[in-house]
Amino acid sequence: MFKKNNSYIIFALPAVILFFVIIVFPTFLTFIFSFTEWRRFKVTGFGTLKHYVRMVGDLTLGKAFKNNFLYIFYTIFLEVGVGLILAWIANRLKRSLLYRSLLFSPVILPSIVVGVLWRQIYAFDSGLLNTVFEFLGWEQVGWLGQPYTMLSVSIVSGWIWSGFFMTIFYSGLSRIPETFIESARLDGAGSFRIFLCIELPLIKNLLVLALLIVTTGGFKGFDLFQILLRRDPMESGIVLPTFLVRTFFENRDIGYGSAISMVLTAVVILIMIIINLVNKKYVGAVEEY
Amino acid sequence: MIFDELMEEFEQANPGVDVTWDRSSGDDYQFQGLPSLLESDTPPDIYFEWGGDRVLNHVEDGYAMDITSLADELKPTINESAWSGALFEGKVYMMPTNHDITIMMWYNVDIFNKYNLGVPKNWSEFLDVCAVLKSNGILPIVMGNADAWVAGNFVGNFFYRWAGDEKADDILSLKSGTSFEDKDFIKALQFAYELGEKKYVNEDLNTLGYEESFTRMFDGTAAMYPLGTWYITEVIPDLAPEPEKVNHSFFNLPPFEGGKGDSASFMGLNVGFVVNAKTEYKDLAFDFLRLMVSKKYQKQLAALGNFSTVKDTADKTDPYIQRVLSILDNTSTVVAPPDTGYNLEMATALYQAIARVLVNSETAESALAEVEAKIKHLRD
Repeated sequence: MFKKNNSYIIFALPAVILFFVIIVFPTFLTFIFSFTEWRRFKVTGFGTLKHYVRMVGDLTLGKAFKNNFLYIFYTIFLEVGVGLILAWIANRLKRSLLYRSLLFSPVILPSIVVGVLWRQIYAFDSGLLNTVFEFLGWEQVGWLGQPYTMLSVSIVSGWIWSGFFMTIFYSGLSRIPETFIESARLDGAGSFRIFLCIELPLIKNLLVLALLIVTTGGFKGFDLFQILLRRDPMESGIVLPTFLVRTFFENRDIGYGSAISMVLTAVVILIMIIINLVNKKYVGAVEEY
Repeated sequence: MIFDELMEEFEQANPGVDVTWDRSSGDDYQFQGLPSLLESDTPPDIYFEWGGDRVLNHVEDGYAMDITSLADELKPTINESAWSGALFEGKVYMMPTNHDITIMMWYNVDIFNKYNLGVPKNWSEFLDVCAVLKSNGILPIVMGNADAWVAGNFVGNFFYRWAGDEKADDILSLKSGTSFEDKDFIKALQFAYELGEKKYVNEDLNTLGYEESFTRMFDGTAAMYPLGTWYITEVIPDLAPEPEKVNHSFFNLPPFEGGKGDSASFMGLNVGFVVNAKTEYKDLAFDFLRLMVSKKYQKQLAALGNFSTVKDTADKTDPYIQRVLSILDNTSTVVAPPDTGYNLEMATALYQAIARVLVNSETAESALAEVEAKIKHLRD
């Protein structure tokens, strides 16, 4: 019935249709909406560029972009960096299952639980951190206020996700043949040297993957910000997803929200392209272990 | 409990009808819950609303039914002032059930007595009270403003009191030719700056959650909290460790000397229930509202401290009720909270400015200039 060399179309079709329905079509609609004017649920005009012009002078959007990049910067260290260290430790333990399970456990906790827990830890006059500070005779700190907001939220993010990245890195580290490590040791390399010159290069692909996940995921962070900062009246922790929710659902500004979504999509795609280019040029293909 | 009884009675009177009452917290309901529900496949037939701009939005969106015929039928039993915020272009779209005073200054009577403090009659006296409390190691005013509206409502009233009710209304309504950088608005916000400068408000107010903040009122570390009438109907019963031992009272915001607004005005609004214009059960919805505003249920709600819109339901022998009624009787000016009475996007920008000014991270001038910049597109 079908030519043999065309049969792949049949197999690819469901995925392609799905991709178009849930990714391409909504993106296209958002693109169209970004040129429309709305009064809550009704389109009142089309063909306007004013939403894109408005973005240029939008102070809150500027804050949201800045905070989002800051969040990504912090979480690269707190999620990927800490995850790498934890994986390195796990790889050196003879029995690491309990250690890995405990460190992974925050990933399975619902965000609301984590958020409420950390709100108690960060609370100004009765929180765990400030109680310790008070005991030590230090001044209390407004952890969720300026200038610590982004760092505080990123620490919670790191607490949750470092265990996840540990698992990814551990799977790579544990697959490196022991003979490589033994040879290096015979040549006089210490643990740190082995990690830097042998283990790290061999899991470079995993590091790039982690970087992609953290960078793109950083633009989707919403739940922790919402739970920890509530309505964040100082806007010290406003990020693009919280700003978008406010624009779409509170202000019902669908045209403007769509324009922001399009710019955000473009930024994420651009970052992914840059990471892939850097990966190709400087990292290259690595033999997997 | 009262509403459970109400639903049960309604279901018994209407065999085969199953009433479901969904409850959620005010903030979730206001910003995400209700808008999502109204757009869902299973929208509510009747829903709660704050009178004013929000109801008008529902009218324009086609989610609010014209209930004028029901209102005409029930009008003899309901206070005349209840219809403001429910009435647009001569038609009624909300059945008002409660008068809410959204901001009064609640204070710890024992602390005031301990330091021989009386209820301040003007702003200077109010600052003196704060100074005495502060010098004795008591935080004068606590606010849990993580959701922005507590301080927003409190300081929002300063604009009316200082600039005058009409001028404040014009600016908040974004009337053409007005600006938030108005000198009276700047002066009004400077009163808030002063509270922060003198450390009369808690430094962590913008990260402190609403529910968490009351601990400081109940453990005596703070003396005052600006909040609405629900402080006595919801906060004390639900959040005080020993509600029966709480000895708190209230006063209206003291007038600023030289203020142009009505010195006895209070911030408040009517709340009630809207019938969804898309409901298939109009008659049942009307019957349900009839039962809800019946004296039987409104008297029970009034006994809990609610200010029912239904006539002759308040227990006038209760000293608390008497005092609130005296506030209601002594003023003809009721000003609307910016976040329910006006454009929400404007209110959000204004509340953020108030939040920054109260912790002195910005001056009144620059905070209001930022409000103006943020709402520029609303004026275009």
